[in-house]
Amino acid sequence: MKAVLDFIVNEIFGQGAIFLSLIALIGLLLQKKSASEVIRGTFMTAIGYFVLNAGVEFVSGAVSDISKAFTTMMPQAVASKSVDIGADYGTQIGIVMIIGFAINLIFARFTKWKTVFLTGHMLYWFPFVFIAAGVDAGLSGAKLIILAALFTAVYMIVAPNLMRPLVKKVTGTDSFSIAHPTTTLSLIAAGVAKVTGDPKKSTEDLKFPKGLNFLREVSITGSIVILLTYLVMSLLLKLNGYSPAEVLDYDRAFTYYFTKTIKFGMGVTVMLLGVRMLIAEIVPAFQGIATKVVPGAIPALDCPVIFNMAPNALLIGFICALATSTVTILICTALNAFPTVVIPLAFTCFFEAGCAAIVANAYGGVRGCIIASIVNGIAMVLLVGFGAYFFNNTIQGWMLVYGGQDFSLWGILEGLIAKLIA
Amino acid sequence: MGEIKIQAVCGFGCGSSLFLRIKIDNVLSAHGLKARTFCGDVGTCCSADCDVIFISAELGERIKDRAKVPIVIINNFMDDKEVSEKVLAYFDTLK
Repeated sequence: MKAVLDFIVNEIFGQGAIFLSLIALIGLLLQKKSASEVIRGTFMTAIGYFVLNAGVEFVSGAVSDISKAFTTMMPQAVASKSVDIGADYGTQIGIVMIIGFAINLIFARFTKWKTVFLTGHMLYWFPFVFIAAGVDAGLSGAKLIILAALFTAVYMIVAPNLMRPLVKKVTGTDSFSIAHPTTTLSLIAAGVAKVTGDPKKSTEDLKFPKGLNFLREVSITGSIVILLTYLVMSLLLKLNGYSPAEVLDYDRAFTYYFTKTIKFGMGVTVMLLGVRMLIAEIVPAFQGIATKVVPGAIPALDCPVIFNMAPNALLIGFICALATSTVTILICTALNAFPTVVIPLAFTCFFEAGCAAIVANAYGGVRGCIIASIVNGIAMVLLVGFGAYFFNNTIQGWMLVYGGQDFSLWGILEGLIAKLIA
Repeated sequence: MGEIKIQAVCGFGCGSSLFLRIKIDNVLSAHGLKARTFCGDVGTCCSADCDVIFISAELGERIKDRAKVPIVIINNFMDDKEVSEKVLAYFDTLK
């Protein structure tokens, strides 16, 4: 009996891959899929789990040498430790995902907050971040799961309801909202643009060069930004009297920079594939349940669903935020403001700041869009920088690439509470 | 003809494409049509094995010269009517 219990607790619920496949299996059965579809989907979810974790490892690995170079030059900086949250806490993430979503459904069913959080990858990443913030503060066991689940639930309810009026302003309809970590930046954008801009002069009346479209392939743009950061770091090492080859431990400079850059793009691609496989069966089940349980639900979706409303604003927001965030990073690094390095946030500038720029355009036209994006460029650096105090023992490497918005802000909030109860 | 494979594509292949995939699945089951649907991202979708790609207008622009299978442009992923019409129109071309 004890052996059976031990098997169930440690080898079924203790294995993230198996636990998440179980969720997928139940989801597939609920959707009444054929036997072959059920088997395929269940296995793909388990494989996706490992693919995802491998991708996160590659991405963190590709940026780790940048942190190494930074801590060499700034001895007072704290080197980031890395705990593989996705691999070590897969089951906890799964449990938090289900509890958070269930609470969201209950609220949508019985209160006037009708949004249902349906952005697939964010259903994974928010529990991931909230588990990491708890682990970083020293929580474990039931306390960790309860706090992370509470934060996930509150986030899933609050953020899409805050986005709802902004989405309505952009699209003119109230049929959906957005479930995405852009919320903080989008709210800043709406406020700033309303005060500073003129909604009559829309970004979409501008003629924008088509050649800039390649910027939208973010795994490429991200890799280019990483390459430039490596080059700048190496230059800084040289200027400070270090040998980049020694600190970063390479023989051939070109090969080193080239592989680091491409491995980053590879890591991003692998990670996307993993998330996709992991959530492909879980989200349709969640959506099926939501439509049954909550009549009149407002689906809260991924931010690109409004990208076609203002493609010019998106690119203006990306470029302005990337430029100002880079300048802010340089200033903050010179002032020694943060305990660790911050690198340019290509993904956050595109998705979160880009979405915020579309919101800003609706509230304040071209001028509102530009000023809001500049403010957001500064805000995201401060969020990642101060977030380092709350993620440095766990996922700071990941945050350097994907943080600077709700992940950082809500993670900091949870970290503050977690430190009190740890 | 074997099983038809429909790929729904967005920038990352996780968010809006998954939603589009769900909508396509709904249309298929409502009309008793059979196909396997899956998601892809714009960077890798052209190398994935499929019979047709459903994609947004601005991303479709980027792959239209490279894709080896027909592309169906969906202007508004949220519009049930548009998705339904275009899925059915695609199946008409197979007859």
